[in-house]
Amino acid sequence: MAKKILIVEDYPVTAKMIAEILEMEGFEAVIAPDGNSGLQKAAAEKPDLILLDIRLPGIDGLEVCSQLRANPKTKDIPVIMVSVKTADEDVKAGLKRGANDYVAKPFDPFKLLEVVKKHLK
Amino acid sequence: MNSRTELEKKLEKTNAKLSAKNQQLEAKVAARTADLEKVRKANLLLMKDLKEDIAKMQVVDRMKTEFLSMVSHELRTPLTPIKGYLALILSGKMGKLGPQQHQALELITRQAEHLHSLIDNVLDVARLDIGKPIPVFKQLLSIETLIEETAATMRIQAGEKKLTLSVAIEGQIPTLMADEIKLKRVLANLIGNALKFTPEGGEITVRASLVEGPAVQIEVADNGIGLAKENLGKVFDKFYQVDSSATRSVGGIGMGLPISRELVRLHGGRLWAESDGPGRGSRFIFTLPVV
Repeated sequence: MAKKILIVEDYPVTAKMIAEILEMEGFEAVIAPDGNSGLQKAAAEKPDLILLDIRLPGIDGLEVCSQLRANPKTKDIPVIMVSVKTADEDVKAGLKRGANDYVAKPFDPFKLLEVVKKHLK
Repeated sequence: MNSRTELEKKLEKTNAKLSAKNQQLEAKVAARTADLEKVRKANLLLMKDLKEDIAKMQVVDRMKTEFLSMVSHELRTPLTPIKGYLALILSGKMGKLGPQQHQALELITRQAEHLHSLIDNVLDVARLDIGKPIPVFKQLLSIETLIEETAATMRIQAGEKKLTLSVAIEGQIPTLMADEIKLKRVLANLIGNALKFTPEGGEITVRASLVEGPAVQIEVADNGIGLAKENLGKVFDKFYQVDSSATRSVGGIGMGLPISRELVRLHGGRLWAESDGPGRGSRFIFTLPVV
């Protein structure tokens, strides 16, 4: 069965692009445009991995990450932060909240794929 | 007896005079004090105004920096799908490309890279302005590979202008703990400037050597328009543009060098310019200490 990946991203074109790369590689992609729907879909769809933007409308990616980790249903899903925030403190903040990895935007789609595959193993 | 009353009278008179004088003096002092008080109050008002002006200026300054930082974040957002889709199409995974299409897409990719580095420079200037540190991720790095890779990406541009871009690695260069992306930007900035300011047919050489310190020294030398002595330091000022018709045609926003200098400084090194004068080429040299 195809591995399912949840993309929490508010910029629609970026979300679509990530979904397309993943689908090309045989993954199933689910998109959530904000933090709240991200949390809902993470619990309902049980994805194998979550790609999480930091700058999101409503609750931001860091808070989403904390809540994912606090929920027994989602606490073990690998989370990769994907954001333009490349400052050291943002990376640290993301990893502190329990994210497994970090990819800075703009990224090479094939590098993103590599990171995704690494964490699905 | 008589003389005593007279004496007393005299004394009284003198006393009366004295107290009159005293009163006059007191009035004068009071008037002067009032004047001084007026001046003090005026000064206080002035000081308050000045303080308010300074506070306002600080607010404007902060707003300017925050605006710059916000804008560059916003500018990077659409760049993600632009660069992403370009890489996908170029990989051939979205269908086969003809050679012309491939070439055109590679051109667009280079322009997107250029736009990306301009945006990064704006973001770094904004960070410098608010005194926020520029993040540096150091890892073991081969300087030789760094130079070769950066030069390779810039050779196409050099070729378009019929410029020779060569690399000279002198002796054994040790690996360093350094931030690859930041140093690539420094090199790309320096080589980019050399490309801009060297007329057709010119030569650019990137040279690396080990110098005393020990430190790795990297030099980008060209035989282009050169620099007057008084401009050797000025080129590192923020937003500085060499005032000549040449610059207007080559563009740029005058942030490459100040940012490069800061990035080199963050690695514990130094960046400076040398030139034998206008028309006689320039050398931009930086060192990276070997720890």
